[in-house]
Amino acid sequence: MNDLTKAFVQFFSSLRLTVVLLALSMVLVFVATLAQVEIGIYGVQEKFFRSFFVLAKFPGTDIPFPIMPGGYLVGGFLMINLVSAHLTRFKLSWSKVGIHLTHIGLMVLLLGEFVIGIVQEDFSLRLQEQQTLAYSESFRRNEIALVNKTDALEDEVISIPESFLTKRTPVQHGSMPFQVITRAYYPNANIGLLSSLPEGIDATAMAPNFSTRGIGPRLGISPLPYTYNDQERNLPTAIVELLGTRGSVGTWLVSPMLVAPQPFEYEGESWEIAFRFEREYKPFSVELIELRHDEYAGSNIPKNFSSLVTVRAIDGSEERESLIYMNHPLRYHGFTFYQYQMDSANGFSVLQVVRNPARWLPYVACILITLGLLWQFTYHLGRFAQRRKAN
Amino acid sequence: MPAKTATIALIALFTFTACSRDEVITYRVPKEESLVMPPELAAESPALATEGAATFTWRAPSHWLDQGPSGMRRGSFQVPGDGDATADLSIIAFPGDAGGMAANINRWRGQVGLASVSPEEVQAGIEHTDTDYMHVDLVTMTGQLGGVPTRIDGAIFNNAGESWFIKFMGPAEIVAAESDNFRAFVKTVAPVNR
Repeated sequence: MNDLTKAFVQFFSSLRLTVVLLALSMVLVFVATLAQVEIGIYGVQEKFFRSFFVLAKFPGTDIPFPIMPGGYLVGGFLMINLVSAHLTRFKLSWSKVGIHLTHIGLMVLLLGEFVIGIVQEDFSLRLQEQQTLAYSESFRRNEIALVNKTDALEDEVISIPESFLTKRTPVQHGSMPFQVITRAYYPNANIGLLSSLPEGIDATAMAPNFSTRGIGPRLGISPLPYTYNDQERNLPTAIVELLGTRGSVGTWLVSPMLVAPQPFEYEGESWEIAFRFEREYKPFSVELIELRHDEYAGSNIPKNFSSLVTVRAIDGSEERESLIYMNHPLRYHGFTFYQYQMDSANGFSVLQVVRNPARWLPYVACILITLGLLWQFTYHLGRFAQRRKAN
Repeated sequence: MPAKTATIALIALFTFTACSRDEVITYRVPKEESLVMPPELAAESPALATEGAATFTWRAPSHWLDQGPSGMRRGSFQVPGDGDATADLSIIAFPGDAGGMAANINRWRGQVGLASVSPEEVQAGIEHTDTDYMHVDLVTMTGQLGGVPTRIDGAIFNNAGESWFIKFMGPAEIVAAESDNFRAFVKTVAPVNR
């Protein structure tokens, strides 16, 4: 082992590092708990735990700087620390089996949280009665979708994540004959027809709107503060310009508040542009056959919410009917569908669609830790009893 | 030694943080029916919406108050009833079929709190009539708006690739009392260059 390797191993297997990391994680949990008041549970998870650094911005600018290590960094270092300590001090003996098991359990727990943070996905599926959809929508993420509708059988979708709008970077992509340039971006905003603004609203006091195509020129934008409330959703508005080889194609105002995409023609091809909730297409479709909202007789107290759905594989290989209600989700193709919301008056039901291939990891971790501790205590109890007997 | 430790920590840190972020993705999906903007929102821009305006003329009863064209409206009237109550008549045109007959009738039905009906039922509810100048589809629907019985009498016709919508909406008793006047009004709608 050369000097550098030795230094690496020493650094990562030291107990001092463990203590520092544990202290850091305590600080992280404390600060995050306080921050929850301001930015809500989801905001805290993203900012403090599912990040490598907790970032702040220089006052008056958008330049971020790290203020403390985030959950992934502390957790990652703890993991390396645990593994390397094991490798360097590993001794195979019956008296240590419990310790090893417990530590492996801890590793699985740390790794599990990391994996779940990356792979778990949460979507909503909003269905009108008799409607069939082959995609679900993200609860928080939005996308600019440019859809080439020219082909008679298939649509080609180019999805640009909202983060590109935040960064204001021009977007170019092989399958797009134009560049997408963000001219304005409001993370949360209200839009309304200028011709029917509520009384007392001054149209000139609204955010500048320099869109030229589609519905945009007739809309007013009033930016709202970004909400961290878990019960609310931010509805962004953006003004994007498409630049073709021969100059500007046009400037559109886009927002998930607009009910339909805006069509346009470019060099003989039909396109649509929309700012919508991020979609994930599935290899199957879901049809809402019937929704039920039962109440206890003579009262408005809900007794049961249920959605009767048919799930069909896209290739036609499978079709099945399922009734989804409280504590009775549908599991299909690695997804779990829960009854989430319902508006029986307007005939629609919202299902929560969760995919978490790593959901069993925390259970494995707990079992390993339990077995390890049981072994450790039982083994030492046995040894103690033997010694006492000998005396 | 501290310098070395710091270097090691830094290297490890960068290895950790070199993670990929969001990216643009493309995919193909089976052809989807595009949602269509409601006709009020569907027109390209104000300039286009008023292009070809006043290609039709009309004669209204003298007690109807002419509000003139504004915004999306090619024409507009206020029809007084008893007391302060008034009904509103609007004349709007859109390029193409503006989403189709069923979508538009169901949108009107929604405005008076009625549930949507199937395209067949929409067709069954249409009264077809011919004026001296064109074929007109007439519809009538009564529902509620904010607890007040509300009625829409509508006339729809196509001309030169445009769909025209004449919507007479207001408190049910005013619209019912003025229904004959509305039908007479629709018959006066005539192309300017006939």
